Amino acid sequence: MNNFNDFMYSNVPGMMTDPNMNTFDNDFMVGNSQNMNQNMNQNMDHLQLFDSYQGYMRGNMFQDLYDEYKNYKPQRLVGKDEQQERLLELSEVAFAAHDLNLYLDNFPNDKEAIKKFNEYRQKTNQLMEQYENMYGPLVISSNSLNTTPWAWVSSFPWEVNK
Amino acid sequence: MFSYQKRLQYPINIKSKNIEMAKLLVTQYGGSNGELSAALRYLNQRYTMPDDRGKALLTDIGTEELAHVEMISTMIYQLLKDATVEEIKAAGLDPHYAEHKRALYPTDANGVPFTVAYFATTGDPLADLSEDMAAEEKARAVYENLIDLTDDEDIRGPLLWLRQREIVHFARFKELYDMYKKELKK
Ligand SMILES: [Fe+2]
Repeated sequence: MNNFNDFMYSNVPGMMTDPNMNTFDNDFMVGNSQNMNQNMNQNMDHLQLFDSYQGYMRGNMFQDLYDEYKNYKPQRLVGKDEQQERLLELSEVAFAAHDLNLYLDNFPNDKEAIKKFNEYRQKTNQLMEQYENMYGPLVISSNSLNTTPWAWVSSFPWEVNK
Repeated sequence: MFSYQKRLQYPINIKSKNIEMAKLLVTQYGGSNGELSAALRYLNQRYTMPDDRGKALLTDIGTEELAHVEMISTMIYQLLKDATVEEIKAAGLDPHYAEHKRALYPTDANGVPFTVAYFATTGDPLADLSEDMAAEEKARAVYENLIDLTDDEDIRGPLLWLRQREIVHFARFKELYDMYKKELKK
């Protein structure tokens, strides 16, 4: 049904993850075939997903699409307090749902992906509500907005969180 | 319609100011391959996609690009926030200071202001999606250039993450392009 195999592009620069390749300048290296060998079967396991923690760290839920730059590892995200930890947890599952959302836009009949999406969506809604009850609203539809003073006018996300 | 979530898609917490990096990073805000250009390109092209898959994908990726505009803007804001006038002059950002002080303004790294001439729309889904694929690849390349130019992990982490999003977006656009290419011929 879906043609996940069709886009195993081999001509995208920088597809290798072998840290040894880093010993010389690989700016123009063309896709390492080793990376392409992961067989994406069109059966039940066609979606090789990272878990939401690993996927969020990387910015990519899809193992076959993950493509490291040089030997840089994803940044390890650690919340400095309880609030930041809760926000990270929420962001993780929201991201996982979002990455599946993009995939499903192309393959709207993929039952397995819809199931996964809904797991992450439910978890996101649940963590969002918990977070908002403790730390204030993230969205204007939040139940936490029935207090005085108006809770929307506090803490914007571009301020440094030391 | 759109609504706002009061959180970044990925956290930005830059502890040390860095005027030089702010000057370079701004290209991913207002440069030709930047996030603002990406957001407007997809949100503008989505209306004439030939079916609901295309309308959905361009809406959702275009919306995500707005979250990336916010991430890049946050980085620039945090990098410049505590800069002294002396430091701004030394980094060659005094023309920016003259016009905008420490406020954000969408330009490329050379100070050229953002323009919608950076993107196109043809009404032809294959032509538009080809542009979108190229745009993702160019944005990926610029992220790699920027990653090469910094050793601050607070900056590099988000750049690596944003680079990875370009890879995912490219793959999604290519999937859709390949499907349309097959189907629209029939
Ligand atoms: Fe993108």
